[in-house]
Amino acid sequence: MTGRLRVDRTRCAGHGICAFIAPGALDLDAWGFPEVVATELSGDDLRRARRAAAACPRGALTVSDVVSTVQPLRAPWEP
Amino acid sequence: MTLALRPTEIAVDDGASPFGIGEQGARLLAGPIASAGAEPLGAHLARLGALPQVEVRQFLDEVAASGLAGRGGGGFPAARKVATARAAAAGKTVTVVVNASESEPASRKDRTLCALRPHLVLDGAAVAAALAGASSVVIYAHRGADAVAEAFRRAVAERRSSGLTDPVFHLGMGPARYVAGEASAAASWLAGGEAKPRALTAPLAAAGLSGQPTVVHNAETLAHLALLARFGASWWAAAGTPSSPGSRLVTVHGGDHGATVLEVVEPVTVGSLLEHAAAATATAADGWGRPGGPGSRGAGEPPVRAVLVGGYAGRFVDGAGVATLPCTTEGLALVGAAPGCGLLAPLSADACGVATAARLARWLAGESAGQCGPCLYGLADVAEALEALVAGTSSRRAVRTLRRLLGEVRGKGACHHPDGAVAMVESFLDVFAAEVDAHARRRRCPVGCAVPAWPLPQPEEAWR
Repeated sequence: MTGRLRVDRTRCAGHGICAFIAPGALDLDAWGFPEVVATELSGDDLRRARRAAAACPRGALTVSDVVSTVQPLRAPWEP
Repeated sequence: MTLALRPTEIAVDDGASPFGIGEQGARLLAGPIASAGAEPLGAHLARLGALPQVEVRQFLDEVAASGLAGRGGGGFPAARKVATARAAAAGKTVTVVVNASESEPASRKDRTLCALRPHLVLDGAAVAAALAGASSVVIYAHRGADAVAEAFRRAVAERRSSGLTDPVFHLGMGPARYVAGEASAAASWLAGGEAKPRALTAPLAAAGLSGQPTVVHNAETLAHLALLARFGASWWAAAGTPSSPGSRLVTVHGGDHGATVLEVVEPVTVGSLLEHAAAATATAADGWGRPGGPGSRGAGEPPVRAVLVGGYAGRFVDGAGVATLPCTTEGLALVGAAPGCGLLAPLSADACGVATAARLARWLAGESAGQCGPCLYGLADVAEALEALVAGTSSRRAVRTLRRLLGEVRGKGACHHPDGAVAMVESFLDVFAAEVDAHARRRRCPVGCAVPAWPLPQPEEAWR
């Protein structure tokens, strides 16, 4: 299961809580606003990102399920 | 056709030597001379013929094949927006927006086109509406753009009384703010909200602000569509270059001398456009067309140090290369620039690039909608760093910090406002490296940090 994290920067007010809850997914920039460091998340990082989204006072974070992952095309001789 | 404009008045035609036009003649600005004002409907139809009924599928392919790219600044393929809206149209209300806001303070090309050829723009809007399946069109302009509003009011009235089968035209006058002309900001305003850019999860053409497909096209883009419908893609794409086809309106900002709007039909260099604009301005001043005459840059004029290309959030290019730099998408890409909104603003050697960039950066920071933190705080920090250079309180180390800061701001907005501002400052640091270093070492500025007369309008307070 993988999820995709997105920040709506027009909502974000720079509380910065998210980066403490989900350090593997978000980092804070010079002004204390979050930067998404890993968009596609799974496992622990995904769980933490969901918690960060729930904790955001401005509702600026969304985690959406990646429904179908497109299989990369592979040549027959590739493993 | 060449038009020399003062900021407050519209158009004087030099009538003598159409430039960048060659055998083909002007296209968007063909027809009566500029001092005649808006071309009336009767003259417009007599000159170009009635708008043909387009077969939607076929014409969509034609527009796609023509390679028409948006002329507002982004250069997005025009066919894709209408096709997206058409695909999403079932059970929805599609709206076409004529973006005539021209928020770039020094640009004049859209207001010139709208004031002189309103029917060409409205024809294009009608075609776009037919393609996208829209029954209504909103003409969106900034409050205070009275000449544009008046031209459209009259033109729409003419069309109604002549019984043309048109979509319903509305005129919407939004706040006079830089970012209010951005497509999602326009859509937000039309949906009853503030004219601020929005973070989109789907393209506006698929689902606009109230979930209804909204096709936002620049006024010049639509005028091109009107010519495409009449004369076809192969005629249309014979102008320009294979990878950026069609003619293009360009504004050459002339500082104190006002601005010149040119239609570039055949590829020309940036330098020759500047020269021609200078000659046209002289024409406007004394009433005589003398390309290469008193108005052109000659012995008395200081050389061009740099040219700001594509808008205030465009790129500076070195003046030394403009004589051979093609003013085409491919040519400008060689120096990291793009046509953008078609603005060329030359900065002469008797002005200070550092002080100019500081002014522009402060103005752009003030034009942030204040929604996204990195834009709101970052651009203010960038402006402050540049102002320190002007004040003589900066250092080489502070310049390195500024470069790092610029990297932190890039890509951090819901819209591209911060990205554009950052790119302008980065290009400034590259082109004016020697001046930046001299200011950082607190040497005396040889021109006393003089700035050119570029308009920096006071933003309107309201966002509705």
